[in-house]
Amino acid sequence: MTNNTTATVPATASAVSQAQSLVRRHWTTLTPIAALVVMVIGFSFMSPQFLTIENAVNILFDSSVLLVLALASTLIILMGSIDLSVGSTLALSAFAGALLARSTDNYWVLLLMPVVGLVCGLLNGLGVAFLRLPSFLVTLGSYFVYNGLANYFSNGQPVTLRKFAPLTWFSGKIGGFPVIAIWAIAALIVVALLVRYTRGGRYLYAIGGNEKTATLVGAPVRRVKVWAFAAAGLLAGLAALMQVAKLQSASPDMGEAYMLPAIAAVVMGGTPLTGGLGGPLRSLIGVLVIAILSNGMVLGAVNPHLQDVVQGLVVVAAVAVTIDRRRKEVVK
Amino acid sequence: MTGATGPELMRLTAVSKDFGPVRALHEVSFSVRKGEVVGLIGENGAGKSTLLNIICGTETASGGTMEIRGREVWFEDYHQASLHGVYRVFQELALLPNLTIWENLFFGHEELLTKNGFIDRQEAIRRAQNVLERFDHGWINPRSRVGDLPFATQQVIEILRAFALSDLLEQDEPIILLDEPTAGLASDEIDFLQALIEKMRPISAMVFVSHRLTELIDWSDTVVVLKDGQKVAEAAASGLHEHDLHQLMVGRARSAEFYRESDQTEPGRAVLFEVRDFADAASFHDVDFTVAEGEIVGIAGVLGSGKSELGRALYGAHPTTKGTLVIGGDELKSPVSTRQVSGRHVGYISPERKEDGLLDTFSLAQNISFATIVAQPTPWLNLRAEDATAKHYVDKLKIRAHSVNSSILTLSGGNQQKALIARWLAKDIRVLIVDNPTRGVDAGAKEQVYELFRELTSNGVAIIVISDDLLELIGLSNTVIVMRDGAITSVVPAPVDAKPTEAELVSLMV
Repeated sequence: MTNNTTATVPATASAVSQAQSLVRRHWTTLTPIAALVVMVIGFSFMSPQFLTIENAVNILFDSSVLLVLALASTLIILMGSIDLSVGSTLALSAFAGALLARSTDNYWVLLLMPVVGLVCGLLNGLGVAFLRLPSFLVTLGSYFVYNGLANYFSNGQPVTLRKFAPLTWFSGKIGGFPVIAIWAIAALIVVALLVRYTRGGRYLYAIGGNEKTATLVGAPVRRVKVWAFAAAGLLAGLAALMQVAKLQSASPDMGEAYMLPAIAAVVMGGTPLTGGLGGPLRSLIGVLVIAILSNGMVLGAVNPHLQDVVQGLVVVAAVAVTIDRRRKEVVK
Repeated sequence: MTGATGPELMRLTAVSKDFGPVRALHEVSFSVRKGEVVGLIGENGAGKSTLLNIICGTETASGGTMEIRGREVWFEDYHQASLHGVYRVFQELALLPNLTIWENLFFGHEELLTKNGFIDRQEAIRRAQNVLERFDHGWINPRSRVGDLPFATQQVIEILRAFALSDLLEQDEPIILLDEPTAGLASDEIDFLQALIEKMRPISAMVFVSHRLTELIDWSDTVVVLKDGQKVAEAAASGLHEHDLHQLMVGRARSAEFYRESDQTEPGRAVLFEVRDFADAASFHDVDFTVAEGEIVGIAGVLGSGKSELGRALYGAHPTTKGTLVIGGDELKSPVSTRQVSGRHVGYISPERKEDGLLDTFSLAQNISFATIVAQPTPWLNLRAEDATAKHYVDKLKIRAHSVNSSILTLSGGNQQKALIARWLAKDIRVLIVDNPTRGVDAGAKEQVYELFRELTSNGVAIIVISDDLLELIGLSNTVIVMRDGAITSVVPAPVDAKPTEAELVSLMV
């Protein structure tokens, strides 16, 4: 009757079961890393250019913006919410900044892009927390609104910029390492530290794990949601600044390509859509999977239309492997 | 009693059910004949619902056999049970409020009502109308949405579903399990329900669960009494009185040692928690009481007495319409928020661990630390201190876990419960409100929980215990408050040398 009996494990079986439980516990971390290793080996055989320093730098350069957007999505997905508007927040921030810079002829206003993103995110957060609407619907709406505004301000035309400061802060290389990737990694480190070592970060996990408990114990759930969305917007604005620096232009459809990859990267890394588990470092792995996959397929001369097919299949396969099926049997 | 002599429709033999280390049912046997109503009675947690779940296939028995119309069978799910003429009328209505009456009546069996592959609406509506008329509800339009009907009518629909389906499936003697069908009804509606049951009686066999003893004796032919998962009595209803049932339902020997009664402290002078004229919209009203330093106040009452809602409301987690809480000298006027209450060194443990107790993606340590983190002044986390605190409570409360970093879901129910108590201990609390603190917890862990409560009170903490387990309330409390229909009906002192008996409390509760 006491719990002594239930917890006793026969000594012989314990070593094996410990190894098993170790694998099971770290399953969601191990599989994406294993997938990365397999891909790197596979692509190295397919193309001699793949495993070169130059290509590694390319991959870092290409995936920097996606990483920052994936960090934004991570904050939201950890709460079990979703943000469909990160890409369009990027587009709107980029445009607001670029147009303002051109009309005032002062490039320093480009630094306002993250602020524009913050406001976009704040509005999402207020809608989710205070109108008590599902984040899917709020951000689906704002996806159209922010994209629409970007198009409206631009008249559908891209804005080109010259290579002045502060755009130069994001270009070039230091010791062969692309500067833009340093920004992305800095963002990763800051977000990862905040999520792990602050109360706000812990609240994100608590809301994703069990919002009712979090409320009952006294966590300010609504305020946390607002700030999380605002922070995601801020990151999307930072991504906008990086993207504008990279392209030296802002085009109205520049966010479109990022909407789903930013979510896919998070989920592939092992943060489930139901939230409560995973984190920013996981999303780094997801971003690398996506970046290496598309880079490798280009080098391996895979038919461009088929590349989408493969990307899609990999996303589903990754989620099928990493998802924890014990939780939330019914997802409505 | 009519002395039903119809054929035996259902027989249970030595049915048992284990939930991990907890034995919920122990070799329960009884049978029901056609034309007979068997009343099933017992305290909350005695195993009534588990038994009904097993009969209708929503839970699996750990042992024993069931015969339905002479054939030995266990159902795999409720659908299969209904195909064999076994129907359950749920305590919480199991109707789909957004669908119409006829859609509800035949839900899950539409394939029997098809014409050319489509649902034959006309036929379905005609059949529904038929059933309604047969049971004196011909005035209801079977096309109306169930959600638009009053609660009592919904209850009728829920019961009539059994007959609509048995008609459709061409069964002439359904077995109907009524799980507290009267819980939400007013007295005239109850009379109507009784008439309905009398009308159905000759053509069916019924098992009837109720807390209302008068009804149970009145309506049943035979009464089966469950206690702690065992059948303790089976008797013809005609000779029974309420008082006999009280004795049968309870009558356990209370072990003073189990509840650490010798450690019961005299309440101090300082009142830590005071409730004045508290009321919510529906479930309780006029609640006044105080809890002093080192005192344990127990709240007793049957399901629906309002005790659980009151418990949540005391913590600000259930909306109130009037009244005041005085916590540590601060007056909080209704409505009170959770943050107001928890910010004043009050903790609450919900009866539903899975629902709003555990943080199920968190580790043991993270579950223990959460209340402390919410209350701490700094936004920075000290992960090393988090682990150290968790280890301290794991040792102190003898929580069995692989490590403090193990997922909370890998722990047993008792250990999870101890972790939830540790969550509040780790924060400096002065008042603890607990609702069914030992539900689903095995005896060993229970004792440890009680020991812990004693230690808290000896340090001056005030505890409010809401529980369905009367022995626990009697054993732990300095005072037991009895609630009935939302109001406090009596306040029973329970000093160490003069504890009330279970039967005394039960007679005040029902």
